[in-house]
Amino acid sequence: MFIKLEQVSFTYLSGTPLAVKALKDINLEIERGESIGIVGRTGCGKSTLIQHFNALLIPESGRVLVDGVDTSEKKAPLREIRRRVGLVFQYPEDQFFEESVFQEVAFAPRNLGIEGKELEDRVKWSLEAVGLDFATIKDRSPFELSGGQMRRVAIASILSMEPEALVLDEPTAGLDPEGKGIILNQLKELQKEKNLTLILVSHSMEDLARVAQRLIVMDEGRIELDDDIRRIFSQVERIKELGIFPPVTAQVAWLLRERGFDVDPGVLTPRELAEEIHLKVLEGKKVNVG
Amino acid sequence: MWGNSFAIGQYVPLNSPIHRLDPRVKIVFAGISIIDLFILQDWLSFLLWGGVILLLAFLSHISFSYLLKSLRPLLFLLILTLVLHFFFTPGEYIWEYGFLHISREGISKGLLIVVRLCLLILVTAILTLTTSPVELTDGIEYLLSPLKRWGFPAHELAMMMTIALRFIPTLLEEAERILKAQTARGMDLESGGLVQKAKNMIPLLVPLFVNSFKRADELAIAMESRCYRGGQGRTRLRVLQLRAPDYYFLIFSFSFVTLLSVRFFL
Repeated sequence: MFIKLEQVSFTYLSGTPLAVKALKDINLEIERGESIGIVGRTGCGKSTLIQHFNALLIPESGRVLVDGVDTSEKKAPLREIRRRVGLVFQYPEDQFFEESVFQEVAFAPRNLGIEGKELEDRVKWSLEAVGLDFATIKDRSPFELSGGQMRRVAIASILSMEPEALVLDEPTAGLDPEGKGIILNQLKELQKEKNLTLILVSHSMEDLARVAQRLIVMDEGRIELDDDIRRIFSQVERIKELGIFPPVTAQVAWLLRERGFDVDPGVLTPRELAEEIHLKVLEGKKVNVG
Repeated sequence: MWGNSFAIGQYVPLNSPIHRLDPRVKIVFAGISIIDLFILQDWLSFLLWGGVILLLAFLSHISFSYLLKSLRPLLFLLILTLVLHFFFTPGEYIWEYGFLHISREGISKGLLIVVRLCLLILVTAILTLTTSPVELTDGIEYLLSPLKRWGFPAHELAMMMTIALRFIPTLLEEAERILKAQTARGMDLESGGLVQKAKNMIPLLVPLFVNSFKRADELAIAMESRCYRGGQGRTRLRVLQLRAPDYYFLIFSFSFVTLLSVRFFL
């Protein structure tokens, strides 16, 4: 078990009239190498939850264990926990402050005391891991890049700590479809190649369908559903109650089911849906197109 | 998401007779009470003022303990004033130890000044606790607008104040967000000497400034696209208008202050 939450509760501004209970009694276990999506309405506690994974927030009650280490312990090695569980915030390009992309990506490993050849290797590796060319981009100012490049540099600036888990809050928000595609593909590849634990918060079910295997649905500070992504998407009615709309593919499959076709409602990609329709609806009734 | 949770100017949104008063009336009242409290020298007047403040606090539905909290930031100053007056006022000594001595005059003068300061703080606290920042700047703009004739930028000043107040919570929220993001990247604020510590702040300050400039640009464009051209010919959604309670309150406060002053000058 890599990350484990036991009955975690958290309240903002605790003890004041403005107190907001953001997490209520969360139990969660995350294995190494998993790829997890977290969804829920705005304000349901997703961002609060992920900040518990790397000890930026300490639970009010209950405990969080990262590889067996309790984050609320007084002498917990917070920096080590934050290295192992890299957290990429929403709009991470807002944190840029260095004059070059190289320096920006080198910030985190430098804070870990890494210098010289290893530092350069890590920066190079991280930039390439997000699909950027090290030689052409390293000396440019991070502020003059395109939106998609900025986002990738920001992700690289966390990857350079060589985290074992990567947690991303809305990594594709505000990007064009091409930028989205690149980032999602790179993340998926990293998860497979490096056995990286990937945790993705997103409002886009299409994005999650491309990357996640397991889905956690939150509502009002609680985990309402936690299951295989296909099984969750096939419960269309239930998840709509929670303010979640399954990807178009799953919705089409569901509409076909209502019309009496035995289509698997857990389809994730357009290709899978096409296969299902071909097999179960058309049954070889081919028409000549064009 | 939690940006609105920072208490700014400690305004407490309630619906009390005091909250409903015209902000101009409250500002004028605060102004004359400050002047009055500086003129007054005797305990009876302060007692009467204390009674008025109690009455206002009661009418404003703000709990007295919450009102007293506004004294806390100035507690050190109050104690310092008290101690200085106790020990350094010449007169009839009632306690001596070496070069330290406390005089009877010192005690009465010190207490008087501290009570005056407390009353001043409480009067202004009632103003800021019952008046939203927007109302406050609106009121200031109205009160300053006669000066426009001599080229005084009353509207621009009020707009600047409104914008500044509006963005304090946003900036705090942003600072917290960036602090967290850089902490996740292993930022270290603690270690090193003074110079190093100042350098440690760079990852926090640079993004904060960059984002503030970006936001200022966006705000300017948003204002211009809604045809903002300064105060000239601008009408208001909420026109401030004095109503009966405002007049009663004004009459009451002026007569109260006059009465006290008459006593003082006689």
